[in-house]
This record gives sequence, structure tokens and C-alpha cells, in this order.
Amino acid sequence: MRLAELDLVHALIDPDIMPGLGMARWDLLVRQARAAGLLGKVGALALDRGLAPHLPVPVWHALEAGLAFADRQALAVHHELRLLDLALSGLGIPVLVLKGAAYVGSGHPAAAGRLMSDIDILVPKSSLGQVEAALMLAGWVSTLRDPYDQRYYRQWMHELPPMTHIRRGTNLDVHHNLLPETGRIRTQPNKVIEDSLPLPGLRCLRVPSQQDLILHSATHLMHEGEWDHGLRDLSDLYSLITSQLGEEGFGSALAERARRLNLERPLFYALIHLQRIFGLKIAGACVAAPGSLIQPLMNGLLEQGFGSFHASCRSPLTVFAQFSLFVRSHWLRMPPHLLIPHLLYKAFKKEKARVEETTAA
Amino acid sequence: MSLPTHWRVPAGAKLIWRRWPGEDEYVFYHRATGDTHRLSELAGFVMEEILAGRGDSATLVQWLREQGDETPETTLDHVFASLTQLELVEPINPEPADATG
Amino acid sequence: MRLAELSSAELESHLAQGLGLVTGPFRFLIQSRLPRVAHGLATLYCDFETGDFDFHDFHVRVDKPFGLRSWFRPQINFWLDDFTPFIPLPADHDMAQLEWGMNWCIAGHAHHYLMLHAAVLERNGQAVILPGDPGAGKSTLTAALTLSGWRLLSDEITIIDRDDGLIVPLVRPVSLKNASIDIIRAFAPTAYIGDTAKDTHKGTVSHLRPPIDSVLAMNRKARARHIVFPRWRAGADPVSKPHAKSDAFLHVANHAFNYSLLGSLGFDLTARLLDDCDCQNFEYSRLPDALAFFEKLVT
Repeated sequence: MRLAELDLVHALIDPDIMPGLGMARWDLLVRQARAAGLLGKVGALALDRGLAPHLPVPVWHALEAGLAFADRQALAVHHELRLLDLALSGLGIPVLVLKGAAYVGSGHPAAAGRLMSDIDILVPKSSLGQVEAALMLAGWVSTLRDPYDQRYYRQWMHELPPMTHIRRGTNLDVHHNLLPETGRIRTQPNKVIEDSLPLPGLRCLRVPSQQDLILHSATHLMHEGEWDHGLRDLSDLYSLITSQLGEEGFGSALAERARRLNLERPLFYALIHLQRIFGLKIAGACVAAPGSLIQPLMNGLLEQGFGSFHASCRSPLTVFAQFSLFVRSHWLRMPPHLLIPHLLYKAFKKEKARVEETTAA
Repeated sequence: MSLPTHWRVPAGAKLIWRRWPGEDEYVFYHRATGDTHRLSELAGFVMEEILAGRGDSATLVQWLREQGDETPETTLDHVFASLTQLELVEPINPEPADATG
Repeated sequence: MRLAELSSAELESHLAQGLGLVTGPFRFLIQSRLPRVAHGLATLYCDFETGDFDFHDFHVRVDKPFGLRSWFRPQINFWLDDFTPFIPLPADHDMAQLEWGMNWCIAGHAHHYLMLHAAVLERNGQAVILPGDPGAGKSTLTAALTLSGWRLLSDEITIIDRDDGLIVPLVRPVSLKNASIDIIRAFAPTAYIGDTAKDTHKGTVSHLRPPIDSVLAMNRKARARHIVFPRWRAGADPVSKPHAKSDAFLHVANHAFNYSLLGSLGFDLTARLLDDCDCQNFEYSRLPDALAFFEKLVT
């Protein structure tokens, strides 16, 4: 099944079709939405448009359940942001909240019904040491014990090893760039920090500008290895962009900003897929296309990757596509000579862990 | 030791609570943290007073003394320390010219 | 139509493609190619409604996992759509796994309701909730009450509707563990108890077919009036004592499946439940004493 043909995608584009879907179509839509992490979002759209009374009761119950989950997470995020602000405001540096937590913290429409697991923040690279120290003082600890993994993160990635709060168990990712510094595409996080906006009621926490939220979402989508929520992330991007479409000159301003941040390529791919799957066109967003040979292959791979979340959208190609995309994500992060040892080591470790598990059982 | 003079529920806390007839203890729900707490009779009473806008330490100390507590400041200090840790209250010290409480 | 109206060939064939089953407010689509599962459903769920539904709340499957192990030492697993939270288990645990799996689906997803870890039964229009503490003898009690004229609403997950605060029946086979199995066999020799699964993580497990009256009354909600914390103690005379509501509140909240997730709604629903119910502890050793106590409670 092509993604663009899914009722799920149509419902995200035009929620008013929901009352017209029969029970059989809802049966599939709910399962796909649940698998894609979009149940809450569909519920939020239905609630926002007053559609709940027009939906079959068991359908609304399923959507409402997804929404309950997302609402609870949003509450937790607000609380977490307050405590993060308290922990870091003494340092006098800007701390940018990214992605889902940014949408929730700023009350962006993209936040409605969205699920998240981590809070992501971006700080100037020079302040990493102080930030890590302040966080540890306030109860966050690094989750990676393995020295190899620690080194991987600190040396090669654009973020500290993931942290967890010792009492609350919440997860925190501290970035100093939007992309790894060893990657093939380099961008300038300081420009994002310069254009950032304050968050209401908080002292040091800020959010990227609307344009930069969009560009970061596009970048994250195309570069990270997590494909289980590819469609969810793409629908985030769809919400982010559609909320800005009314602004005059939006498309060309976005393209220009992408050029300034050297993020044209991820924006290009993101726009192609938004067009193919969500039917979205943005006037004036002229972005340089990569070499013509790469394009059809990448588009095919990415489409397969997006559909990986549910059996009804998968084909035998999907597993290959997922692996290729995973390799590609790491390929973009690290030069080839560093990549292969890393992948080999990771594969070995997983195998070793499985063997240990079965002998212990 | 000196207790802060006045107390309030933190902004955004939005507390809901219950106490059943014939029972001493209270249950409180803190909307911002999502936490539920069971409070002793005294702690619950203090919270009721604060929620009603009567969160001044002096009056509470006096009331406790009248109930027979010989070290009311110490008692209250413990109560406020717990309530603060649970994020149910925070201290305020109003300006002398603006003692609206 | 009722499951009993299907021939065993029809049942197996439906089950291979997906058998629709109604339990309480939920419609499951159950898929399996295992003959033991077909037998288990035919005998434990014979009175339940089945049909060709367009919408199911949960699509589940109990089957052999893919891999070589399946011929060497037979195993099964449970899936909700593509996803399984469980590790594969020995093949004779299939019905137990189906029951746990169905409970997991409900407890993990049905957030229109507040869901407590408790059994709940009704008599004389009053529902009695039995929170599920280990060692309480809850499963024996629940089965005995069910077989003594009480209407079974649920043996594991008490479901409370957020709109009216009423208990929604989730009638299913009553799970029995270890000693309870023999006790209930002795208590009601004509009651149907299914195959046992040995060496599960809960010991030996089996299931009691719910009485047809309870199954047919599946759509009738009930108002909770009592919360009883039972405690079985060898040789104990029956003694009941009041249990403070504030304490019961915390207990219920801590043992609920989604109290925390529902936020202030969870607090409100639980508070209303405690408003409606009186709470007590009940200690006992002999089943007849317990049955008499519960009978008196609702008279």
C-alpha cells in the first residue's frame, strides 16, 4: 500500500474525512496509527474539529486513549522543562529546547497528541562542561556505562551520552550541534541559537525560530537511524510547515535559511516526501537537488523506510531499505573508515548480549 | 530559627484534594507534577489554611500552641519542609507595606 | 451468535483467519493455528458472542514464533498486531498466554476507562471490589463467589467508565493458580476448569469457565458499593475491620493500571469510587465463612 493512499495520511491532511470512514477502514487506520505513534495526533485533530460525537464509540475510545497518553506526556514535559530551567538558569547561557519538547513548551499546534520519549536540548559547545556539571548536580546521570559508547558520543557525535534523571527517570539528550561534526554535512548551531526565542515563564530555556524548527525536523528525519517513527516525524514536519504557510514569502525565506545553515539537502528530501505522501507544495521553496542518480534511489529507500511501521505498509524490500537507511544514517555521521569498525563492534555486542541472555534463562 | 512569614501554593500547582468524614488523613493531587500525596491531619490542615489564603506562619504557630504543642515552631518547620519538598507549598515574604497575605 | 454454535471445524477455520470475540466492551480478533487454542476457546468461551465484525479493538495472535526452535521444544508467543511484549513460552502455556496477552492489551490501551488491578463481582445490585494483593486468596474467592450466585464482572481488571463512574463488566474465564485449582474442583465438582499450564511464572495456572448468566449480563454496568481487602490466614476465624478510605485510595491508585496516566481524571474517578464505597479488611481461612461474610455485606 502506498503511503499517500492511506486513510491515516488523508485524515492527517484533512481531519473532516473522519466521520465518513466506515468501521472497516477505521479498523485499519487505528492499528496503523497506533503502530506509527500517531493515535494521539489523530485524536487531537478529531477533538480540535469537534468530530468526536460523529465517530463510532469504539473508534473514539481508541483515539481518546492515545490522546490521554500524549496529554500525560505533555504534562510531564512541562514539569521537566521547569526543573531543567531551574537547574541551568544560573549558568547565564542560552539553552535551546528542540523537537517534541519545543513544540510542547511553546504550545505549538504540532504538539497536539504527540508522543515523545526524550527531551532534547542544544547548548553552545564551549559550555558543555558547565552544563553537564550543573545537570549532574541537579540529579541527572549519564546512562552509558560502556567506555566505547561513551567515547563514541563524546568524540564523534553532536551530543553528550544520553542522561537520565536519577529520581524521575526522565531522559535528556544534550546536543551541541544539529548534526555530528564528523559527518559529511556541517552546519552552524550558533546561528540557530542567535535566532532563538524565549519560552514563556522560563528563564534560560529557549526554542529555535519557526524556520529553524522546520529545518531541524527535516534534518533529524533524514539523518537519524530511527525509522519506526519516520511517518510520525514526517507528520510533525507537515504540521510545522502548514502552520506557517499563510506567511508571505515563507517558501523562499525557508530555502534561504536552509542555504545559510547548509541544510539544503535534508530540506530537499523532506520536501519531496511531503509532496509525495502528504501532497504538500510550498511556493518559492527552490532548493538545489543532489546529483540526479542518487535521487530516485534515495526516494525509493526513504519511502520504504517511512512505511516500515506496520505490516500493511511493508514489502519485502522494506527490511533491506531499513538496513540501507540505517547504514546511510551512520554514513552521514561518520567517515567510512570509522564507520565499519563501529558497526561491526555494535553487531558483535548485540550477539554477545543475546548469548548471555539465553544462558542465564 | 525563623520560619518564612507567609506561604502559598506554587503557581501552576492546581491542587485538588479530599478528606473523608470521620478520617484524619487527606489525599492531595498536584496537577503539574502528576503526584498524589497522603497527608497527615496536621499537614492537611495547614494546606487547607494556605489554600484559603490564611498561610501565615505566626497564626499557625499560635493555633498549634493553643492545641497543646509546646514546640510549635519546630513542628511547623518539619511540616513545611515536607510540604516544600513535595512541591505543595512555597514561602513568600510580603513587603511590610503590602501585607495582603 | 455464540461460539458454541460453531462446529469445531468452523471454529478452527475462523481462528486461522481471525475469529471475532466479544468480551465486555471489547472486540478482539484472535488468530491462531494451534489446535489447543481452538479447544481452549471452544470450552472456556462457548457462551461468548462471536461474529464477523468490521472493527476490532485488538488484533491478536497466538502462534509458534518463527524459527528452528519450534520443532525441537515447541513454543508459542502472543502478538498485538506485529508487536509482542513477551518472550516465547512453552506450547502448553498457550491459553494462559492468550489470557495474559488479552489483559495486557486492555490494561495497556483502554484509557477511556480507569482500570484497577482487582476482581469485582455483583449481587443485589451492589458491586464488591477485591483488590489483588498476593497471598490474599483472591482467585479462589473470586471463583467461589462466581459459583455461588454472584455475577462475575471481572477477575483481574476492574474497569470504571470515566463518564458515569460505573463498573463495566469484562467477563472472562477466571484464572486459578496452584492450590486454588484443587480447592475449586472440590468446591464445585461440576464446574468446567480448563487444561493446566505447569511451571508458568505464576506456577500452575488454569481457567474456570464463567457461568453463562455472567456472560449474558456482560452489558449491564454496576455501581460499586464495597471495597474488601481479603487476607487468607491458616486457621483464622472470619474477622472484618474498617479500612481507612484515604489509605484505600492510595492502595487502589498504586495498584491501578492507569491511575497516573489519567492525571486529575484518575484522581477524580478514584475519589468518587471511595465516596461510593465502604472499605474493609477481611481475614479468613474457610471458604464458607468468606461466602457468608460477602452475602451479609450486600443484604
